[in-house]
Amino acid sequence: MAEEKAKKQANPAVIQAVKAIAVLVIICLVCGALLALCNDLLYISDQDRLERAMQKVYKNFELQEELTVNPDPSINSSSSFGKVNRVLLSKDGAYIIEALGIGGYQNGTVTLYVIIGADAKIKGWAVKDNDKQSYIDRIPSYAGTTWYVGVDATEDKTLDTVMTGATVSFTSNAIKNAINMATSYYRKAILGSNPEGEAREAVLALLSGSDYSGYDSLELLSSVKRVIGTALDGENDTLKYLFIGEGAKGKIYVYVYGEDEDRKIVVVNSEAEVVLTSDNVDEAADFYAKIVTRPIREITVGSVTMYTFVSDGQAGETATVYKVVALSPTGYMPGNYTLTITVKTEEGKNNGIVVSVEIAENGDGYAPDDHAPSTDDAHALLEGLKGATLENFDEKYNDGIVSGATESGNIIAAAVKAALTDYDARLAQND
Amino acid sequence: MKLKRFKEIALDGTVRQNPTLRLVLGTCPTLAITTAALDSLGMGLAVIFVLVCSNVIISLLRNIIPDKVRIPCFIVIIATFVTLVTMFMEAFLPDLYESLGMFLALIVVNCIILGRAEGFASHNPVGESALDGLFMGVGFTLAITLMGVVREVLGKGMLFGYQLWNFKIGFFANPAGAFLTYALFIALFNVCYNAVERKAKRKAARKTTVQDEVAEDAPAVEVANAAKEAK
Repeated sequence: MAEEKAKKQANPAVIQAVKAIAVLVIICLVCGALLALCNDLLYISDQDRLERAMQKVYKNFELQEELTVNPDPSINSSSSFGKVNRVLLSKDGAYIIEALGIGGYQNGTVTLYVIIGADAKIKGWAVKDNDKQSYIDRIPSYAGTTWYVGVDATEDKTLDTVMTGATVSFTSNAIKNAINMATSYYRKAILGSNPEGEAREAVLALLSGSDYSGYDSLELLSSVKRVIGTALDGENDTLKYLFIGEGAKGKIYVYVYGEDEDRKIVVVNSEAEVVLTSDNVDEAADFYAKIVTRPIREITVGSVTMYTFVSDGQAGETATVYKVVALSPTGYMPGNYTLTITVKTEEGKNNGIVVSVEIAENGDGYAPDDHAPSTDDAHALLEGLKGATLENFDEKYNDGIVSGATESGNIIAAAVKAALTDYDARLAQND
Repeated sequence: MKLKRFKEIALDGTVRQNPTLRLVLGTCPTLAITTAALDSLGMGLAVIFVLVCSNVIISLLRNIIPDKVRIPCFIVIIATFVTLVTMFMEAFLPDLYESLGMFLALIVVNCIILGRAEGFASHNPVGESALDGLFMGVGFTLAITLMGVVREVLGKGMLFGYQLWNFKIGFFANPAGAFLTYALFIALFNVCYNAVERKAKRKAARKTTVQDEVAEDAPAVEVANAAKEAK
């Protein structure tokens, strides 16, 4: 009897529990069914999502198709600029190219959406992502709608950095590289025009039939070439590309002039000696003389190796005045300086000694009086370099003088070293 | 439903038991969303929808849902409506959807909604529950929208996305400013509410006194009236 009573009391509890679970399950099922129905009604397709995301970047965007990125690494990437991740074509003929730009702060990157319109002009850009660019918020909000807007993407040229001043110089450099990557890809992959690739192939073909046949990888020194500008152009020959290669015989610099049948190639080693030329190069030509007398040198100051280029050496009665452009290594730093350096022969010796150093021009927007190095620091640095020779250079150069601008100071020092190197080389030649 | 009950529910939701300014519920979206008036309004409307719908359903099922599983059932129902709102906003109001971000999904755990489901809808008829949800939502919306207006005007110099002037006090756009604004709103609202309540109580007290006096004098008046009739 007692057992039966206990059983009867337990049963309602079990029934209650079952009922509770059943109600909960039914509610879940009904809600689930309702949500499933609404999901079908309110579903947003991947294409819609993509269009919405892209319309924030480019208002008129309507997806025509997503193009496959060209698999050729010489087209979809660049050691100077970065790489292309994605390419979208809008119905109005505009391209949105997702490009990653290298050379940011702490070797970080910036990924941009670059819009190139149907007229082949840059319409704008927007930041998709960044790596280590902690001050990217300091890039002005109008940057995406003004910087590089209107630039013709069909022009085979490297764009400069737009500088905004302190703290975002590296990030601006990465942005510039992303823009250059996008326009480079546009020309090569979308327009099908790849003069750089053709030049590269011509150089490799020339090298393969010579003592430098093992040099099968060339790096384009686009930033160096940009700063050199027309300084190495002849009357009838324009410097188109500047490559650097490394191999068993050391570094080589390859100067490529002209295109197609008029293409002329000159190969110079790290000792500034011409080691190879294409058949159509006339050693009497003016551009050839310029290459020989104004070699590019790699100079190491501190922990950084930079390219220097003596653009003008004017021999005076007592001193030679140089205009020297010191450039940062490709894709690493944005800065370059042009300095006027006066060098004379040290008394009783057969080497050059610095008489004076003046900053003639600051590349990429740096100004000595409103950015590092400060006016006082710059003055102290330049004064300190007076009396410098190649022998005592390390003693004379104090990279601690320019507070917060060690790299800029190193670029200046590299330029001075280049001038001394060139002067000493000329003295040795004259002997 | 009687008008009196309707007024009671309406006043409770918007004033007496205003969830934001009196009960201090739902402070998370209140502090986070009120940087812009439009976002505040959007959040408020989403909350109204969820409150009304969840109150109605929970009220309908109040005699079916067992006590032991009432909270999970309420949560499932509330979450369903929040998901519906999210889907709708994503499809038709993408800008607002992006502005509200994760706070849209956090409506599920908003104390106001679960509190009203547990405290009102599960014990009251459907009509009253719906009204309670509506007016609670309206009270919440009014409070956060007003806060949004103040913070947007002072913090950004804008109103509903339109630039009014260049003057702005950045502090009000920050979380610290959110707390201060919220505190000031609560203080101001409660000062006004208490003042009105005191006035009402005094009025009620005076009315009671007059009625008492009338009741004491009542026999003499009745005699006088009776005498008049007799004549």
